[in-house]
Order: sequence, then C-alpha cells, then structure tokens
Amino acid sequence: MLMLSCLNRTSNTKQPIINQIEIDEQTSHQLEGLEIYMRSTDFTGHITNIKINTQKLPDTAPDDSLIEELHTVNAGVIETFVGTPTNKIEFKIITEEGETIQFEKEIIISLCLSNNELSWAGSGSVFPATSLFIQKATKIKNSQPFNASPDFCK
Amino acid sequence: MSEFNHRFEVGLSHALDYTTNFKPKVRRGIYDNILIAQIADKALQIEKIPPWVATAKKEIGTAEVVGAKANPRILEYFKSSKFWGEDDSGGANAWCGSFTAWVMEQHNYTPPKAAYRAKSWINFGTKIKEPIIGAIGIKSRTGGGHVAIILGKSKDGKQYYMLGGNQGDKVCVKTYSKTVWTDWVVPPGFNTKGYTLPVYKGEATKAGKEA
Repeated sequence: MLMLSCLNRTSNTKQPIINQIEIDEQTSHQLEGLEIYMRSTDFTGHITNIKINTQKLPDTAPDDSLIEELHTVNAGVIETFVGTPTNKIEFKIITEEGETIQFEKEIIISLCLSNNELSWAGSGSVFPATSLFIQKATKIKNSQPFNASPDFCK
Repeated sequence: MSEFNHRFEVGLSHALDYTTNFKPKVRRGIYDNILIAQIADKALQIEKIPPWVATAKKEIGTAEVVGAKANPRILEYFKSSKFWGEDDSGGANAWCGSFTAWVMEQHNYTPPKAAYRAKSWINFGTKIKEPIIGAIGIKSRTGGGHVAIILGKSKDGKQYYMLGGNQGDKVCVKTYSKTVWTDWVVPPGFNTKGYTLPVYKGEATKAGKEA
C-alpha cells in the first residue's frame, strides 16, 4: 500500500514523456514553443551552413537616435517542416545596433513570410536540431489540421 | 502606510493648502468639505500610477552577463514567461517579453501564451487606443518586435519614455519616437479611469539596443 502511494506520487511529478524519454520542465516548455511556432508561422525548417551578413539601416527617425541593423541570414535547408519545401533560404532579422546574432551549426527555426520575404518570428523561434526536436517537428508536421493564427506574423 | 493612504494624504494636504492660502474667503463648513474633497480627488488623479510601475522601476539596472553565464534575476524573468533559455545574451534570447511577464506576475496577472515573444503581448488584457502611464507598449516591426512599459512622454509629445528589459542589454528607461509603438494594452480588468500619460521628468537614455 505504501509502495503504491509512493509510486503514484513519483509519477505525478514527472514531466510528459515523448517516445519513452523523460524530459525536464524547460525542455517541455521548449517543445510546446516549437508547436506554437510551427502552428503559427509560415515556415519551419531544419537548417545548416548558416551565414550572417550585418549592415546598418538608414536612420528614419533621427530625433530618437534609434539605429537599427539588418542581419541577412542565408542557410541550407535539410528538411522543411512547414511551408514550401526548399533547399536554401534567406531571411532577415532587424535588431537595434550592436545586438549579436549567433546560431548553432544546425538549428530548427520558424520564420514569418511577408511580401515574399522570410523574417525573424520572435524570441524563442530557434530550437536545437536534436533527435527529440526533429521527431516532435515531424510529428507536428504530420498532424492535421493546422490552425494557424493569421495575426501571429503581422 | 499603503500607497493609497499616502496618496490620499498628499492630496488632502494639497487641498488644505489650497483652501488656506488661495481661497481664504470660502465659507467654512460643508462648502469647505466639498471643495477639499474635489481638490483632493484632483490631486489623487494627478498622482495615479499603476502599482506595477514601482515593481518594474526597482529592476532598473538588472543587466545581462556577457558569455555563457546568465544573471539569475534574468533567469527568473525567463521562468515567468516559461522561456527555456539559459543564456541571457544574444539577439535570439531577447528578454523584453520575459521581463514584462515577471512584472505582471508580481501583481498576480497571468502573462499571455508565449510571453517570451514581444508580439504575444498584443493578446494580453485590454487594448487601449492612447497610452496611460504603466500601459504596455508593443513595437511590431517585421523582423523583430519589442515590448516595454510606458512611464511618460516628452514635452512636445513626440517621444515616449519606455521602461523595459533588454534595452541596451539591461532594464532601463529609454526614449523612443512615439510612432514606432503600434499597440497598447493594460492588464485584464484594470480600470484606466483617472489615469493619464504625464510628461516624464526622470532620467532616460536614447534608444539603442533591444531585439
């Protein structure tokens, strides 16, 4: 009886299990984030060979000294999970001056599409290209229907 | 003393000064009481500030740690937004949304889903057309957004003073052109009556870095 109650308590504190792998709370949130981004953005892919070119943007509002930088990112696509399948992409990230943009060698990333241009979808839109996340992305890709939020990328 | 009591006493003191020094001929008695109540109410309105503004101000100076290590306080902000990041620096882990989530959580408001993303804050609470002190502003631009709490405006009204996280890699007050802010929200159920957007008189730096 005591053993049973201990077992129950232990099982209540565990996080959800994906393919028999026990995951921590942070990873659980990140997997949830992957699903939110995949279901809300226009492109999600497993990318590699990432090259970033940064340039200063013209100052459109000199009164507030706001200087922005445009980071143009080119990468090869290993697999497209959401969006038109492709083998290479280019996307834009705009930050204020001095923000460092760095990625791991291989990542899963979700992007927004506007005027035929892919762009940064926001904090938390980059995921590790591990088997856990690739499996999750594949599972989401194969699940239907997608209820994408039209406002998400506006 | 509670913040309300303090503000009430300040208001009452202004009212008493007013009746004593500027209206000596006003009849004493019920008329005085009405006048005092009206002026006290006016004084209270002038000083009305949502309570989360003080909470956010106390965080000014919280800054990123360069390199792989992170400021434990910023990791607390991450926790409030359910963000999984372990590194507080770099554009991919921009934490303005997480900071706003932490501030709101201190006042028992539940942050929106995916609060780590600046633009998610559009779905928080109630939208308002014109900002009041303490309103949450969202900067929706293609390729990167931002979210921060407004403290006031410039004398000419063309600039806003925004208190936010990840502004130059820290929590601080910065000036922005008013035109870059696309949406304003206040927490659910918050009554904006009597709140205004004052001219900001504190310290601030010009907008520089965020993401």
